[in-house]
Amino acid sequence: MKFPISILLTGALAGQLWALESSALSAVAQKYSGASPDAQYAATVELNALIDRSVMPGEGDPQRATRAVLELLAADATPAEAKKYLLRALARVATVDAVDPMVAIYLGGDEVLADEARQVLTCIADPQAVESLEKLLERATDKRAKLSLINSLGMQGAASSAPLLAGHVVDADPEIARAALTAMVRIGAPSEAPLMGVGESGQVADAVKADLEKAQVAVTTSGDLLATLQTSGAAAAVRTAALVARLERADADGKEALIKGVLKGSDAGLRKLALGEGIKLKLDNLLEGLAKSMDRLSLDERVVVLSNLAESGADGTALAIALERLKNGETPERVAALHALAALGSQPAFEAVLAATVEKDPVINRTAANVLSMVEYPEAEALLLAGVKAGEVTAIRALNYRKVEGAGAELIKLIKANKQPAAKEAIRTVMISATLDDLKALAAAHAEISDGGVKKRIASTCERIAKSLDSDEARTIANGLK
Amino acid sequence: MVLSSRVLGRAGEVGANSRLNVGIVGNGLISGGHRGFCLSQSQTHVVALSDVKRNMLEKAQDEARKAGQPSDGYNDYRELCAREDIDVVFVTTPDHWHAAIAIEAMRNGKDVYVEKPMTLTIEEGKAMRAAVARYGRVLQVGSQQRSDKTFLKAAELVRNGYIGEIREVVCKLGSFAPPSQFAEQPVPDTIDYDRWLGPAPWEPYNGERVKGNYGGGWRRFWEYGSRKNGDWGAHHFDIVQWALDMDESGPTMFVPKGYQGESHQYHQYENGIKVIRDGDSRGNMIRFIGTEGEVLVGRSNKFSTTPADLKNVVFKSGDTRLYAVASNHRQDFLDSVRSRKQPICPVEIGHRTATICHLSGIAERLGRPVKWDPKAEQVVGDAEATRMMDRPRRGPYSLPV
Repeated sequence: MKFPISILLTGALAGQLWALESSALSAVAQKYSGASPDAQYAATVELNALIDRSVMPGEGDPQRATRAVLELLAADATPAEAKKYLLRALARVATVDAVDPMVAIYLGGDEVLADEARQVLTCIADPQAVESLEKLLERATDKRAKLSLINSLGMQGAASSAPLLAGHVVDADPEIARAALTAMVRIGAPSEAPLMGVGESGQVADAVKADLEKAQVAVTTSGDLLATLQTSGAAAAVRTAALVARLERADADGKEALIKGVLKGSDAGLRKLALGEGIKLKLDNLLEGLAKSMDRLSLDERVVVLSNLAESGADGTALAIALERLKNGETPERVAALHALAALGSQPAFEAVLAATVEKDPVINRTAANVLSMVEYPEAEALLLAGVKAGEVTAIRALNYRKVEGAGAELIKLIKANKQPAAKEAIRTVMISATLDDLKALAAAHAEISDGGVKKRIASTCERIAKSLDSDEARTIANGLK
Repeated sequence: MVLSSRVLGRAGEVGANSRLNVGIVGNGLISGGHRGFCLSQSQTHVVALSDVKRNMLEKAQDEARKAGQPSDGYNDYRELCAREDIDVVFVTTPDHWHAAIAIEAMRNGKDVYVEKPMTLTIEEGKAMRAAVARYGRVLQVGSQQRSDKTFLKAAELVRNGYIGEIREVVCKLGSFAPPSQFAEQPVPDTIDYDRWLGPAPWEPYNGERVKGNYGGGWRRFWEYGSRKNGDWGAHHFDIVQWALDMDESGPTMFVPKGYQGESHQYHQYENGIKVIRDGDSRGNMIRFIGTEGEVLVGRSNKFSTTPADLKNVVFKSGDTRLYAVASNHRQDFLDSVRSRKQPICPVEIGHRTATICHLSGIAERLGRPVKWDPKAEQVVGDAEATRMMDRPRRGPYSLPV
């Protein structure tokens, strides 16, 4: 099978435009000869630019470009270092014309160029390239070469390579067997059947059995694979992947049966997956069952339940669970409960989140503050405004997290009234969220107040607001209060 | 289906407050923050570390030992991924290794935190997306600006129309020195150089090539990363995608600097919004320019708006809020591992952002515009650019499935 490239190229490379490309490429290739690293890099940039230009959409001709590069690769005068970069460029543009020359280079004895040639063959989307790679694999004896060629066939993705690859799945070397499995999955075998066949033949090395299971999962489309894997002591990762695959394909009854089956078991990974999926699938009465049994779940499982509540479609039960866990749960589930309440909405949800904004635990009050504006409850603004009017600190502070039209005026009233602790909280809040209009109103209030201490606080507040607003008008107003 | 207590049972494994066992692959420059975080948390326990540079590995092991978490060291990440006792894997290697290690970890049942950009090629991103679905795993991409309150606020202001319709976005990426072809040096016995190169093309060893360095090192080379488009673009283009509500889509045109006199590289969305690299960002990392104002944002809480008081906006009911708890990106990942919910930067988002980085790089290398169909995820009308959506892999290194 070994043949010199020069023979393959004889004759076919004529034409004026062609000659121009070839000579230009040749001139660049010569720049590699004895050149410094920087000069070699410059030559590579030039080489790539020439080749890229020669395949410009609508203007270039990949076949001509391929032949030009091949001619240069075959020429004795082409510096060896240039050939590596010519092959790399060829990988981006090569047509089927390059198949036989690449085989020749692969077999030519230069280890680096051989692998570059293999990579070119990997990139040519043509059955001839696949066939060449298959033939090279059949005659390969070196482990690294086998692995590389198997990978190439996987990337080519031709179904015709499957039988050859299946033969390597039973190779005594686990690395080769694993590579063959990977390639078969990448090819996308129509079902796991061929791989199951390999597994059942008993020839597969023990070290590869787990990989075989993973490969089966990756291509699985039929059969009771989950049951097979659950009884075969498959690795946790394989069991999870198998459940994901099974759930994707099962009908509603099948999904319910799978989830129920998993929840009867004690596999923590599968249970978490099943809980989340079961809630999202709105399985009959699942949530009611969970509401009665939350304490029997692990913390991780409770967090999974809470994180999926909003997708349960059973808002009443979901709300009850979230409120109960916010009240009695551990910190991670209380955080998850706050998110769930925000997504579920309603007055009780809003009030619970609002109350949590002033809890001592910084994890909880920060989370509550962040989710407050996301609680879907249309009356929230009215509720907050009423609270502000009543001087409730929690409501005043909440204005930092959820905008309420008209709240600015109410805050200024509180400041003017100077009734603590509402006035102090109002000043803090107004400093964070004030607009230019609020600043003007505050300045007006300053003029109306006689209490020196309050006036001083308002002036200081206005100064900080002006700094934040960062406008001349704001600064003028604030300066006028000094 | 009312589930009895017996049916619900009690989970046999992962206890209520049990710690997550952590493996870290790649223990060079960028891993320090991740390792330090995991070593300092009661919720995590570092049990295994992997690096092909022996001195880096030993240094990391020493750090873990001092933190009371003696960790096994591995030259080959596959051995780390195969350990049954590991729950999560941090992938903090150079970019050309991200996809292979992340998929290997997922197929072994691990949840994964992978540094940005998520991949080296577009096809690797598709493979990672498939692996997340196939193995039911949680994957967080290290685009931590999504967990930064300043960037969050910028994105929310833009998303909710507070600066009107967006016309242009300017991103500051900076530049590296050109990749070069350094003189060959002897390979030190402290590095497994073949494995460091992995699937990347063979080149003789030079210390600069393998160096972790924010100003250069391997980041300079197309073989191991996407240069500045990947290094900073993965952060800033990501925030732009977020702000423009394009997380599951992307631009349709990528134009390199210099093409027909273009002074700046840019990409453009179907609605006409241009994202310009290294234009006038007014000293910020990202500048959103709208019909009614601007939002300018950077790290370390750098944030300003036009009009100025826009920065004080308190979002009203009905505004789109992008994420509830902007806190620690790593914590968000660990929370997601426990709750099995999507993290703030899951695989799809990481893949779409990385796609922008890669297409920008492809256009730059080809010196011509590249058209992109974000729905089909295909290059339009350019066979060479299409082939560059993936790269051949040096033997014997393959991408797992």
